[in-house]
Amino acid sequence: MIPPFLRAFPRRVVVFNPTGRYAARQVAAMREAGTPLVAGIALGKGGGTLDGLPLLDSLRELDTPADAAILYTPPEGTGAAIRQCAAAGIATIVAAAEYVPLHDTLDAAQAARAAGSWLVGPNTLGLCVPGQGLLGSVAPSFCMPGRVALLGRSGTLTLTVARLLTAAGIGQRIALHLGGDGVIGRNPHEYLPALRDDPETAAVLYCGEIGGDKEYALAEALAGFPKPLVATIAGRHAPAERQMGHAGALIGHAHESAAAKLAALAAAGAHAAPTPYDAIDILKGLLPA
Amino acid sequence: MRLTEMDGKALLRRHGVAVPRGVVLPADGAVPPEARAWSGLLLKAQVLEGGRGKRGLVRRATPDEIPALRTEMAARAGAVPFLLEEAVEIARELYLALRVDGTRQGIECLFSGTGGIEVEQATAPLRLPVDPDDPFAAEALFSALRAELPADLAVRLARLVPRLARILRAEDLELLELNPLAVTPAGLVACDAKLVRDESAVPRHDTPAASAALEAAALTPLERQARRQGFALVEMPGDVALVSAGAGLGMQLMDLLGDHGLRAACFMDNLRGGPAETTEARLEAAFAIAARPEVKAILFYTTLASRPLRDRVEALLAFLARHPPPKPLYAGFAAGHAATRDFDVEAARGQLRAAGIAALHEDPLALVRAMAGELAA
Repeated sequence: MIPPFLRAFPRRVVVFNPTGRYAARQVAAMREAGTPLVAGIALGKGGGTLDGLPLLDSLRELDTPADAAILYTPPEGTGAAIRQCAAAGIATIVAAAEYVPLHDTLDAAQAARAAGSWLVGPNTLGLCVPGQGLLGSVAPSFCMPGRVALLGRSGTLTLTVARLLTAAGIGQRIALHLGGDGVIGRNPHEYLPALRDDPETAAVLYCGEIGGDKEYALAEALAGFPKPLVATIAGRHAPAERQMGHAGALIGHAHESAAAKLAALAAAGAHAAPTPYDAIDILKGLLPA
Repeated sequence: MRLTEMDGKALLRRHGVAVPRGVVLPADGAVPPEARAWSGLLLKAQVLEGGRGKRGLVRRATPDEIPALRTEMAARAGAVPFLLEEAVEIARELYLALRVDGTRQGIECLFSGTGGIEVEQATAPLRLPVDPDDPFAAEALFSALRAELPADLAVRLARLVPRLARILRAEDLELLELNPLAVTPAGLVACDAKLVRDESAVPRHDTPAASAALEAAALTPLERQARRQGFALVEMPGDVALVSAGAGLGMQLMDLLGDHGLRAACFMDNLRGGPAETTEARLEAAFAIAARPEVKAILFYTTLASRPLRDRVEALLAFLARHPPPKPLYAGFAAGHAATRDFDVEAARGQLRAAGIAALHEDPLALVRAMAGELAA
């Protein structure tokens, strides 16, 4: 399955729980970026508006189906909101909340997958397709259109690297924050088939981190991937057995360390870079000027 | 949240999983009368770290030896609870764990026919997917386990695993590890249990007091204070007090410091239930760390997409007005268009420089290079 937002940027986007302080700022930023928001879903606020955005009590009240949803639903409600969107056939679901209980995410991610929806997050800043639109809060002013697909496990690092790429004159096909939790809607390796077939993608920059085994699945999926993938893993100097912020960002076993993951990715044909700066230097060499 | 063995076993017992009989040993070490009748006794210090057996914190003893053994173990393990358990008759030790596999997006069972304290050195365990809602889950597991075990044992295990998967989900556990799971004349008995509850789901459950106390005791005073203030702090041996926001960026800064011969003395991130803004509390912790003789500098760096840069810069300036930095402070920020709306970034840079900042850079690498260069000079 192809991530729907790579085929065409969504045209009808709904925002769940848009009225909180944080969410309202993201709504304003998305509208400024030209994201086609059609409604906010806010139980108890139906009939009102948020800076001109009509508010509905329920997704069921939407007259024409949405093709993307951004969820600013608090963690306890995020699982149910994802399942609602999946049941409604919404192709792209971006779940922002951090601290969604693990088993809630597991159930919801399975439901979204079964329904054919592409879930980004939870615990995500979302994605920016430079020049086309923003779903979430990956600052468009950090990005510029181009041919590198940036996939990151950490929000602040995805932002930082997008900015560094732009400063280096390397534009992005997409800047996407996969989500920082152990269970996320779609894992890094699941993006490769679409990026392989996407004529606008020339290379992939993957920014991972310590903990878990998602990079090993990515390494396996690299066999036959015809485009260069540059990978960097944050946490080379992190101590073992200490949780470094994100749920799952913990070196419990040797294979979860940055060095082991970089070695596995390099053995699979990736260009392994110790830092994002090294990754950018590699990309400069790989991409035609 | 890691549960102590006794809290984990109490949970398992509530769900009908067989565990040995046990009692919490009172502080004076007196063996309760009911335990004197058990066939054998094991004294187990309730520490959260692994490797208790190798450290001599799990020992078999007679009732009369228990008080002295408790004193001896407490001298090494500290003020921890002690579980006194019946020693069961073990015919074979197995290793069994249930966990959430994020990459395959499901619950998986790890199984090894060789359990006990040396399992880490044994061959890689079998990895079997388990669907707790599949009515045929036991049959699917049986066919895989049959290759490793006699049929009657494979059946018992295949029936136990889906039950454990449902417990994993109902109790919001990330990990449920039984090592050893003992084959006894009375059936399968969980002789040791390591249960880790998902931090995000902790508010849904009663927090076992012993586990919470041990977890808090493992933190440094500053780490405990940070939790109370609503952010996560990890202290490490190092020479730069690092103030950052966001896990990946924080780790990236640690890496850049490491590449320049410096080591972060701390790492910070948000905490569930914490307030939206904790800049001042983070600075307070960093300045306390920076006051230590081995710490040479403070590094403050933030990247903001849409949260107002104004809030963070003003918090930094207000803090600096009241607290001169104990060591040179290197600062940097990168802010998106939405984060700088109605805010004069150039003026803020001027104010920060006037406040005595050693260097100010937008680029993290340039900032770390400037710091490393000046500290080496």
